[in-house]
Amino acid sequence: MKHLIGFELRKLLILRVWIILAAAIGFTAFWFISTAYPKGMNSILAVYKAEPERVKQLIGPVDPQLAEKYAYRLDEERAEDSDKPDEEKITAILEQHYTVTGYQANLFKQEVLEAQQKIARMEERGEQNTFAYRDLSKWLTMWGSLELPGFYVTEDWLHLFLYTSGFPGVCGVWIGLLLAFGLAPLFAGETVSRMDALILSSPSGRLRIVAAKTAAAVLFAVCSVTLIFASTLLIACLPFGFIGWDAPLNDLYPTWATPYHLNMLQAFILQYGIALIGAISFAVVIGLLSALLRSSISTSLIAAGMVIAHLFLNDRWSVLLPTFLLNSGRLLQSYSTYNWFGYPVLYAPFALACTLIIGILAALLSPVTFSRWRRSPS
Amino acid sequence: MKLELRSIQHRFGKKQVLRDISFSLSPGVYGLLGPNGTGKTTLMRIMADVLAPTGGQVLLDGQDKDKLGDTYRAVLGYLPQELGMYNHFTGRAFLRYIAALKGLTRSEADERIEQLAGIVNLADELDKKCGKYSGGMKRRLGIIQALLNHPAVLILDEPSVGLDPLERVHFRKLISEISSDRIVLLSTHIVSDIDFIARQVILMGQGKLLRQGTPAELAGELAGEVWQAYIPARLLPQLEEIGTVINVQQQGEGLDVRVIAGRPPCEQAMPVTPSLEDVYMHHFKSTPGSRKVALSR
Repeated sequence: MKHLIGFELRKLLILRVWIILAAAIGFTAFWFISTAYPKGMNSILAVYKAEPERVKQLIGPVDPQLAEKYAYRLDEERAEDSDKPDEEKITAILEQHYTVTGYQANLFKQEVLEAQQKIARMEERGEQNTFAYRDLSKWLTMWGSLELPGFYVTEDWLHLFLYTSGFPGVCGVWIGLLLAFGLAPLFAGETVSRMDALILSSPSGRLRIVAAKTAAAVLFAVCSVTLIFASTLLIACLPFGFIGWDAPLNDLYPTWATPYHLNMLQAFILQYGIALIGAISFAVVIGLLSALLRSSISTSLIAAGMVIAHLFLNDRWSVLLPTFLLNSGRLLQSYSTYNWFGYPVLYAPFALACTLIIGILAALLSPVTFSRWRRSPS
Repeated sequence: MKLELRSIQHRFGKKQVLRDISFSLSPGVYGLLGPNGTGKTTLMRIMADVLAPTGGQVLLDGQDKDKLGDTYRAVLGYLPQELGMYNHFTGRAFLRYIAALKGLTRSEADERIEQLAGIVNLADELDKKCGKYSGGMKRRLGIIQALLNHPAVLILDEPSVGLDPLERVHFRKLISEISSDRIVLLSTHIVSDIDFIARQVILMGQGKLLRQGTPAELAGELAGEVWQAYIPARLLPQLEEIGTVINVQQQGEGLDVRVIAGRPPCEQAMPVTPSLEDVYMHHFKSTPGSRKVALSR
């Protein structure tokens, strides 16, 4: 079996796969260098590189008095865009960022207070058995466990998060396209190369070959996600020594409303894990399509369509596509729930469950679909 | 060992391709002979478990192949008419893959590949990419893959297509050597491929089994009906009306002809010993293109 899986992987690793992979990593490097890396004194990252000790003194939970002291900076232009000399800019950038963080911390506390008041009012009205009450209580419980937003240097993680999860979810699109075009010939390629007769006539020509091909597709998906996530992490954070890895996730503006108590590294690993599950499920679905359609081109086009389609559907519906999880950060950004018979169910576990069910169904249907080849071999 | 086909039928849509085919095979070489399009490949695909028949059974030692499943396919060696391969694999990698499909270990596979490549004279070419193989080399690679697992049942669909005359002789010798303890069924529309090596010949036409017997038995059915004559060219149309002209050769001013007919087709005709090719022509004389085939040989 190990040999068969190795051969199936070898069949998949054709030139176009390496080209897409090289393009993905090349594009990622280009995007970060041209867009995210600091140029001159234009970001908190640049400040950190210039004066790390000064920045480190401020890192941590916000001191409200200090934030108040710097509040006058909010009336000034954005410090990163100013024409001031670098030394003045550094001070301005630090103070502006610090006071913005203080403002975010206040907003956070305000949100909690308002939710507590709303819950109290609902309890007075006896609405404890309503979905709205349960949903708000759940949200409050989750938010209650979070740290207040603090002052951290997390711009490298911000760009990483935007690249992996912001619209259009570049990372997810690359992974999706790699799987769509790399795995389309999983079964269909045997028809094209006229190998189906030899495979079907062999003792491994039924369940064993389907299992080997499915395992190869899963390995392909795992390697694709790992390579793309790892290369993106290295490109985004290595030049800055992974500064900010232990900062809370709600320190970033796109994830300000996250209900999850995670630091940057934990969130990235979770994102990777979610994308991995999505990619594995998507890989199995592509395998099923490939066995069903027996055409690499049709399979690639439908799979690529699924990669693109989820970008244009709202989250509520796109969870039904296995490609949704490739853009995994979307699940961590905010508190969103389904009303499941009056109880709130978070998008993340629901999307994971849907994706797993789709993957398992596709895996179960693949042998049935492949066995139908005996009715009309090429 | 006995391989038995019982009332095999197959349809593609509304077209009936195989009609009630039954025969049984025991160790030895069998030639499946018939013109193109008579269902030989379909029958072989059914025997190789590549195609599910719409009716009938294939039994190995009395057990249905569908019930035997992997066990049935483990004793098979199959060379399809159109052998596919992966162009980016070397010949050796391709054979290792087939060996893995057949459940051989890596060391068993390597040993067998070397042994068979030596026999079919492909040892020096195994590390070339399959995409660079000539038609003959691909065919030899196909023969190796079919033999990798020491199959007890070897099904070869048009195995000699693409082989040069010397390779054909080597191939026939190889088949003769390995056939003592296994069933070898090879299909062809070229009579000389099986004339000397087949223990029995199965004649197929229009999806039906027409005859089964040893080459001598089948040829014996035409005893006294095959004639050789030297005639002026103008008499050829008359001969074609009387019998089946199976060979015409220009000899000086006249023609040397071979004819199948119930009586002497002309005064000069001399009876000759029938061959398997005569049998083939006798059965398929009405097949479109049969005269063209006869004249070209």
